[in-house]
Amino acid sequence: MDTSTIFKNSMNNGKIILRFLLIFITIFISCFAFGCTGGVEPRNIAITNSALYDLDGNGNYHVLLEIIDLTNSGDGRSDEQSNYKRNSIIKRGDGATLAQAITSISDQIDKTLFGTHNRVRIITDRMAKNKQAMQEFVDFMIRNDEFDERPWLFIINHEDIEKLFTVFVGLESLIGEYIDGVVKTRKLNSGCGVFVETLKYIIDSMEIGQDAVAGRISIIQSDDEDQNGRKFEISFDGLSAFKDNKFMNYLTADDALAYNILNNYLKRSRLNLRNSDLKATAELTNVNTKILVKENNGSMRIDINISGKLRIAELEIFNETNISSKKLKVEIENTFEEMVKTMIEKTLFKARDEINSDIIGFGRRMRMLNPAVYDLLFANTDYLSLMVFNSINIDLSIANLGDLDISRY
Amino acid sequence: MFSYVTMPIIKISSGTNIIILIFLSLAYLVILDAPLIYFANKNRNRSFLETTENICAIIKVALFLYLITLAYSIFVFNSIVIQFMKASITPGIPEWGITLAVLIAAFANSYKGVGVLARVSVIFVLILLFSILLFALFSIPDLDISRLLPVYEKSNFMELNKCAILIATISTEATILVFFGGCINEKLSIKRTYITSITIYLICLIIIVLPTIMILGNKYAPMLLNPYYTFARQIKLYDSLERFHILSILAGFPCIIMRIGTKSLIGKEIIDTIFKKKTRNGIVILVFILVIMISMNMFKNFKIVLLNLNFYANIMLIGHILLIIICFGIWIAKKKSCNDKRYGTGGS
Repeated sequence: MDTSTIFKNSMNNGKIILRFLLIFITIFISCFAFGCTGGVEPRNIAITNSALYDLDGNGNYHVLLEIIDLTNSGDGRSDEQSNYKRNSIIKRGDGATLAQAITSISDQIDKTLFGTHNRVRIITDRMAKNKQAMQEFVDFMIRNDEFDERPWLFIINHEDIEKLFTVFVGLESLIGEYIDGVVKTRKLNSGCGVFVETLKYIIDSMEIGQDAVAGRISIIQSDDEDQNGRKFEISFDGLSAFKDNKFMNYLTADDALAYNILNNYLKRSRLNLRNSDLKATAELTNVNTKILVKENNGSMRIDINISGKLRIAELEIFNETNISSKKLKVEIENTFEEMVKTMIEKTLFKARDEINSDIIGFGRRMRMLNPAVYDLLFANTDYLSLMVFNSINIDLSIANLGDLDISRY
Repeated sequence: MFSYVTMPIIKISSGTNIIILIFLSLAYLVILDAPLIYFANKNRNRSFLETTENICAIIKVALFLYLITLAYSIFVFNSIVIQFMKASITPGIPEWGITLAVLIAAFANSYKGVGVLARVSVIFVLILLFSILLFALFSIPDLDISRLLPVYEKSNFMELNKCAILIATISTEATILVFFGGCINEKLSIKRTYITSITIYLICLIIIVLPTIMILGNKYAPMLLNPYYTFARQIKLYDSLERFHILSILAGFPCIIMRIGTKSLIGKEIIDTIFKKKTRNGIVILVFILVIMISMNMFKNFKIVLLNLNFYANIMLIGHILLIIICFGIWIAKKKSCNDKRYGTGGS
């Protein structure tokens, strides 16, 4: 082999090495760049599972983070064998701002705080009542990419903070996981609670002609203690109404159901009815709400049409025995329609007159259809007093009377 | 590509009149690209260097100025990628580390020239298009169409048109056809290629921008560094498939690197034209990338101004106008040269 051939070969080898080197660098960069842990080893991160935000009378923020304890995991045995359950630690941080409070927690622990797996954010009512604090909260969420916008957002009475971390958590061992699990199940089966992600709260708080809502958490005394001696449990019924980013008041479970019906969020919910003639439980499904908002002589005329299906789960008739199935069907439908109408009217009037908040977003609906009229007549006024509920039509039809033969009735 | 990362259509318009702006900006895009496509079509089968045999000094100055706008666009591209990666994905990695990673990968891609870059892009762009389609389909259950309303909000007519022009100048990719039109297969028509690319662009723009607005809202989305990433983060697909938003980065990141590589190659073509000499790919691209790295440190204090999307769009508009002037200048020079040859005045 002559010198020139050796030189050419070595040049080719050099090119191959360079090519491999470049490919290696690209793969290496891709590998260390695309981690969800920001380049920190998983064993060195402190994963937050739930977060509680509070503001005291002196304007100081208090943040409580439930951090998953990963130190007793990975012993090589299966969860069943080791009877392993994830534990958590609760760390508290105080500061003049939310960032400062979280930094003070970060200073206390020997690992990097990691918020992207957080499941729940809970804000105390005394913080939520402070408009500036809520604006700071929204601002903080938008600016910090590490705090993602998916966790559920709830408001809690500030007196219940101490009890929150001692409540019954079902088959879970973490509050965040427990609430996340309950929300996912209840969203499909019950309309008595409102479950809002932080993102929806942020979007609604910025929206013109719409006030934001958040979920409601209340701690209630349990009838009996569980094996760990836990006496309290969480109730998710109701919702928290806001106006201009300021918490106004809690609404009840019925109001939450009405809210879900009006916004087409309801998947399925059970309605109970009991009067002198009958006792019935029906499953309300396929709800379709149409809201028409029009300007009428300087006021906002609102027409609501709701349709849905009822599936009878339980039925007991007290008086009439010879009633025909058709008549019975109509009577049950009418009774349930009346019940839903009363519930919706009550919620609408309560939101307008007592809470003074447009949680359904009638203003937004008006602006969507006719922005020029909205800007001219309602943008610079408190349009709630100009809202007129012209008609509320409910049309519920019974899909079936249950598995029993209806000729029995 | 820029539309994918920063979504100028959402940010420049502040989230209002999005549907109108999509179509208006497309109209301006076609108008702005028309002279460049005409030029590329007239100079089929010839490299940019071959088309610029008899250019005067003014055109060379214009080419040099265009080179600066090109360098600036690479700087902005790179900075925005770094800014996003550092804020969301890799907060622990220093800025220079990500810059080096992006630029080395861009250099590696463009080193072999436009042919290899085009072949590689067929794979990565298809992955990107597939991921865009996947995210759009998976987002359907969560879409809220009412967030797009009102379609037309009270807006200054001139302001709306200005927005559309700026969006069009940021989104234009016809430059590639001007410089590398000669590399396209002879059987393919430039016009048809452009029409296909514009159609794909429009479809992608619709299925990127509209779902993003329908999920994030038109007030929140403009505030975000990378609205599409946040949009992808929301997709849950009935709670069965979560946290696969990283796919948007995995698909988008290689394309951004290739785009920087393409811009570097265009820079190399311009340097070749100015010095009338075909230089080695590696050296010129490396020099070009080093200049960008140096400029990153030099302009560190002006970063807020330089990374302002409106400022960037205006510079890109100037760059686009410069390129149209260059194409026009080359066309005149060529015509003059033809006339000289015809009437035999070339040597007198």
